[in-house]
Amino acid sequence: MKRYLLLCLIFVAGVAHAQLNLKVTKGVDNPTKIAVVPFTWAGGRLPEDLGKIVGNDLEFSGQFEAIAADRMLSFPRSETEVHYRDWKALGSEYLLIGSITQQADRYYASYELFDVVQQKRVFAKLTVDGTEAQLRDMAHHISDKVYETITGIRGIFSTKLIYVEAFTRPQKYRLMLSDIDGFRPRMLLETRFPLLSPVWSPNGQRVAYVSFEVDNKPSIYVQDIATGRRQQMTNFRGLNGAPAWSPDGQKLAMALSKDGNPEIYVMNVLTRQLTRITNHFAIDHEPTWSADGASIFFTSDRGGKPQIYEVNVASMQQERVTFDGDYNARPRVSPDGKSLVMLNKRPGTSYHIAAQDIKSGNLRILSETNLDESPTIAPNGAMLMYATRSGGKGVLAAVSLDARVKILQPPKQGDVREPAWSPFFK
Amino acid sequence: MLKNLIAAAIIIAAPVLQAQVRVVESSPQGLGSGVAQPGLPASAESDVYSQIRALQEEVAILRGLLEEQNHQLKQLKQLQLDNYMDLDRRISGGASAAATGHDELSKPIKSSASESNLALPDTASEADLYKAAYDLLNQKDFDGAVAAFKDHLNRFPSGNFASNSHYWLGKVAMLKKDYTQARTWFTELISNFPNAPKVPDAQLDLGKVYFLTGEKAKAKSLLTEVATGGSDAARLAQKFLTDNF
Repeated sequence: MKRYLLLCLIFVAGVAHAQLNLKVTKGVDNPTKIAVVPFTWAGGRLPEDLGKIVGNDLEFSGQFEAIAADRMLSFPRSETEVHYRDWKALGSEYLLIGSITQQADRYYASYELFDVVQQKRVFAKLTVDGTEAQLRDMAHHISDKVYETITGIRGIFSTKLIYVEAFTRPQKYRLMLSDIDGFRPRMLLETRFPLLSPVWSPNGQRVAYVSFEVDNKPSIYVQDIATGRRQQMTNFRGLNGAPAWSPDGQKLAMALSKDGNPEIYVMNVLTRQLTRITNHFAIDHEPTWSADGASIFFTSDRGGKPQIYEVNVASMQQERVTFDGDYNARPRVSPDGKSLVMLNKRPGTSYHIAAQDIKSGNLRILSETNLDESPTIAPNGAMLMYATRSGGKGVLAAVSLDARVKILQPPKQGDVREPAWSPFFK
Repeated sequence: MLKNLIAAAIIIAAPVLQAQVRVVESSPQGLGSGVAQPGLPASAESDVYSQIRALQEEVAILRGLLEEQNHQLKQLKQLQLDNYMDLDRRISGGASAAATGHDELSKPIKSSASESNLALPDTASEADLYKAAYDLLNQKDFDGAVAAFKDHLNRFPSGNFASNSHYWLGKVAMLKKDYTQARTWFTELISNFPNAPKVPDAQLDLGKVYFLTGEKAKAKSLLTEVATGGSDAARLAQKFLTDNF
């Protein structure tokens, strides 16, 4: 029953896709100021401005403010040319300098970070290299290094985003892959029928999603991101929805209505063997695994209103976990396993993204936008992205898990929905 | 459609739901036996189906209420335990402070406390008296609290809060290391108010008094008895047993 389809359309070159271009609408009250000096480069025009990308990356975290190049008093190329008082005068707390050289078709970017307040070098010169097509990857790598050195948290600038873009007249849906800053969008799939619920496999090599392309009925597919090769995993009667990878990547939890009404099942990806997890006349939907893979969180209206329940996969014991608000759905567990992020609605309010501390049960509303949906958490657990409405369009927004940073994407041509934040890549 | 028929068959086959069976029988076609047949009239069928749906909805709402009340109960229990631990900690802290600087701490408060206590009119309700005494205890005015609790007991020897006053009098005596007094108050509580909610707590503390006065065998048997219950005191007794025996 294994069906492999090769999607040639992925490799169609020359299709220019609109970039997402996320903008910080609210950062931390007192962001760390950093000066990223334009990287020196002896050759002609480089296709990418690495220093600028690093500055944008750090600002995208909401925790940094990059000092504009036109305000800089000097452009030091090495430690001996760094005069701390120049940078102190600008209020800068950190200084990053770098240079790019080329050998054959490879580029080498060397960079050094200085602490302006303590007037010392933070780390000795580091070098990263790549091809011309990898210049942005090199910049994101530098951003990760700087971010982790200063904040102690692993950076997410080299991670990727998968999202669904929907167009009307003619109706079409695209599964898109881009850098986390929205640049370098690449189409993974285009169909005339709805695409839903993309999720990354834990190793970041595959994506599972729901497509209506066969007879306009939902089926779950697993697609290899690099090759485009894909397999249809389910084709059951009724609902085939909400795939979720187990942390070990060997199983997919999903919602199927093949036995009557929607229930949670677990499928072994290799053997296709199905295990039924829930059995209730209410709707059980939107499964997601706990961080340790021992249990599955899911949405159920068995208590009259949609709420989130947890089922232990070994004992099948079920327990309700959300009690705040009359609507809690679409759960996602933070990488440290401590927080549950979900869609929450309290009486008389709109749908917001909320985070609940799993142990204490305390719930905090994170988003200030309305009609929010589809939260997806960054692999470092510091931030999450979700879909919302702005200017009558579906757009993406991001918020830090402490709700101090808020980012909104300006409306684009198509509706953007269902973001899925990738894991860390090795 | 098939689902509806199956559902109807299940309901009709179930003897408890006689009402539904009667509805089917009274239909123009008359099904007699009450067993679902392919020719079941559409109206009866949809009637049964809608009743199942209504029941399912009702069950869901009730389940939701039950889940929420269970959750609230759990929260209240936790809150109660937290409050108890907090009070216990504050009283213990106050006692050690009183032990080190007894004169400075207790004397001035004593006079003011006695005044405030006396200020309560004779017509004051039992609850008011008890609350006033309890407030003094919370302020760590132990001497004032002892006087107020005793006053409460004098006026309402078998009042609603009499068992509580016994307990706190025992507790204060215990903190002042007057174990004979403490033993008397706890024993009186247990024998005079056997159904009072404070009994497990009194037993726990009486057990501790036994332990502190060297009667370890008595302490162990009493604490073991307390530990079998499901109360907070039972958990604390269990802990005390594991820590000390």
